[in-house]
Amino acid sequence: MTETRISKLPNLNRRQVLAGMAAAPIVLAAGSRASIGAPTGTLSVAVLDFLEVSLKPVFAAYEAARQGTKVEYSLLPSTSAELRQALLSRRMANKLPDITYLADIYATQFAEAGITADMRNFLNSGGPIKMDSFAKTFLDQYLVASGPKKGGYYGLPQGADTVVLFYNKKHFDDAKLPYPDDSWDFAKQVEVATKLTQKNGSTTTRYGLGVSVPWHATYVPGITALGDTLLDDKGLFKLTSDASVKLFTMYWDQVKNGVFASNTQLAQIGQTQGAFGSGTASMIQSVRALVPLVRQTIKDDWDVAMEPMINGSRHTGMGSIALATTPQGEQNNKDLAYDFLTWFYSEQGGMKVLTSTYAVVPPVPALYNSPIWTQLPAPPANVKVFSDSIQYGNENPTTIPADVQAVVDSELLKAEQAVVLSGAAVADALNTAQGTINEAMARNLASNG
Amino acid sequence: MVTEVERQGLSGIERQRAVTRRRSRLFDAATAAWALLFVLPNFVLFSIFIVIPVVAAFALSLFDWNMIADPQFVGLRNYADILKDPRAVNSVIKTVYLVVLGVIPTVLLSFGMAVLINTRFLGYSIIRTFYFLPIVISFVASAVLWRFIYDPRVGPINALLGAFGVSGVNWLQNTTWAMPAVSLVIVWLRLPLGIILYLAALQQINSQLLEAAEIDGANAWQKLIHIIWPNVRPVTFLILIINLRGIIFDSFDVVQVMTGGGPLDSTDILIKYIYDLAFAQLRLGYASALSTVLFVVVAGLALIFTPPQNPRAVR
Repeated sequence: MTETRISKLPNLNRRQVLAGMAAAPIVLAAGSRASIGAPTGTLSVAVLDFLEVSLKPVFAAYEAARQGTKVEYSLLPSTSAELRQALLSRRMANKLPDITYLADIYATQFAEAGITADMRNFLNSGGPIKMDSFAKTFLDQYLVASGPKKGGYYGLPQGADTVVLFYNKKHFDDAKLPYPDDSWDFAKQVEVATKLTQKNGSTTTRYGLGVSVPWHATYVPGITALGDTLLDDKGLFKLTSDASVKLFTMYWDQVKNGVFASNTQLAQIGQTQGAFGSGTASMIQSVRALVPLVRQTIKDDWDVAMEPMINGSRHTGMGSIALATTPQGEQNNKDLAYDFLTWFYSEQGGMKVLTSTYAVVPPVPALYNSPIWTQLPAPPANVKVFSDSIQYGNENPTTIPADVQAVVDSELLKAEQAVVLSGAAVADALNTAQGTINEAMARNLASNG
Repeated sequence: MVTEVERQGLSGIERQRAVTRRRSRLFDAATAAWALLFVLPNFVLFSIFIVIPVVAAFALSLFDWNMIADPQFVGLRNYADILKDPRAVNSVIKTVYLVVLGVIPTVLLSFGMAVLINTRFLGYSIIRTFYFLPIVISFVASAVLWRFIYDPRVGPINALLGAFGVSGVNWLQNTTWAMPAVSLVIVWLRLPLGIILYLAALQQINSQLLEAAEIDGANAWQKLIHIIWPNVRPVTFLILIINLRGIIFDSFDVVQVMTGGGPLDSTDILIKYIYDLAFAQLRLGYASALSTVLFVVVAGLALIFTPPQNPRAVR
């Protein structure tokens, strides 16, 4: 099956052939399950609302591949507060679906709330999808590090998203600037972004870079690159460390200069993808999941590059959304749920349909070089960047409870506003944020033991 | 001495009175039954959606609960924490500020506009329709529209100011201007209801009163103070209390979409903070304590602003 496909594809290099061979067991196993009589019935899946468009064809393809099955999906709100409210309410009403979507930061909370089941049950069930099928860094985002569910994996990543640099080729061509490459560091990025920035008086009309500074995918790798960590030995935030203050100062100085657009500005120019799509930002730091939206909106040619180095080393943010069976799904519809997951992660099953939307880098290393997503028509042309940058990914510490993450996000946004709008010192603003965040951490620890 | 005839006559009258009293009681009972029948559906729905949640919220305010672990009884600790919480204090101040910026202009402008459009002129129905337009637009859509209007780069306000050589500010990202900018949208959204209520009240005023006042030499101001205002005063109280409640509870959508409570908490009103506590931080007990306090304050204000009524006069 795999060999037939390869023989039809021109210009395959050795890596791609090897990747195809590595993926073969998954493909064959997924197919064999169907041939030996897969379970039938109705599978209920709760889907994050922004994924509906890309997942509808996946469900249709599964129904076509498995006669006698039907996928009934319901939508979940994608905003943090509403998502948790929706799933916690469904859990209390005992109306959870068989499979639910979630984001990495909720892994522990949803596990403890009884919304998600331990996916080791599926990974150790003897099917072709096993623990080592997944990119470890992404699977580990769903590893619960403490508490009663410690050691369990409460989600399987749908994709492997790391932050890369999107750039507008026309803006670079117009300014006669060379495109970003692997040699770029932060200083070079600032230099080029400054040249690409356009202003009307004191108002920036085009930003050199759109970057959400109070986003963990920006500050966690930055602090790591500067040789420190976000949390101290006790698991509390140390935002006033030298590395942290230096990192935030590097970014916020450029926000104050009107060269970088961060949350305060991005809210008014359509967030990162909207700003890039409309040409209001020449570069953005973003992820593969936003490629479909960018492709829909942007008129100019564009491409992607690796994130620039900071302090001589390369680190980048990472994150993912995931699927997990629910305890009800495990109890009432386990065979069908497991069959769907097996098919979903197979090269010719869900991964093929999903990657064709440009929204996903497969979380399965065996598919990093698969033509199902690397051979899609450009832009972006430099797709290797997405898989190559995975090795540089730094995740947000999984010990941060989701409730506290909400406080972190809001306090760092306030710190940014204090610095950018009110001229507060970076160290003072971070100190204020740190006080409130660590108070929330202490409160959370006291409540949950 | 009472004669036999008179005694019989008296007893006849008493019998008649007794019958009348019995009929009256039966009538009262029937009326009460009908009234109960009509009130019952509303009472049931009101209980389910208002009374029970209010009682449940109060009960929840005595617990520490995150919807995951078991609730822990903490007594009145959540209430004691309110005064120690600087963000709660700030959000109360911001709510009062928004009420001042929102309620007073809404009442005054509603009245002024209702007086202005309470005349028949060519195309008056079209003009009235324009005034009522905001009522058919959702709060969220309005907030998105106004966010564009306030945009410092492409928004029409700054473009207009620029045409006169004035450099506009970044309205929604300025700690001084964000709240007035938000309150303007809220006033714009709440004007139509006020205008409708005032128009209804104005059209109830007997035109002969105004004509008589004119004949007696009353000027426009005197007519406004001595005839129009006394007639629209009850409606004014109604509009006041509707807007007070509405601005405190219903401004969440506009604030969430336009500023998210920022910048630097300058538009962080209480209802937005309660939402963050309950659904972003999952501190349902503390959020319920704040909700209970807010409920008591608004109920108190409603009682203060409701004009006293004589039950007999109503009957």
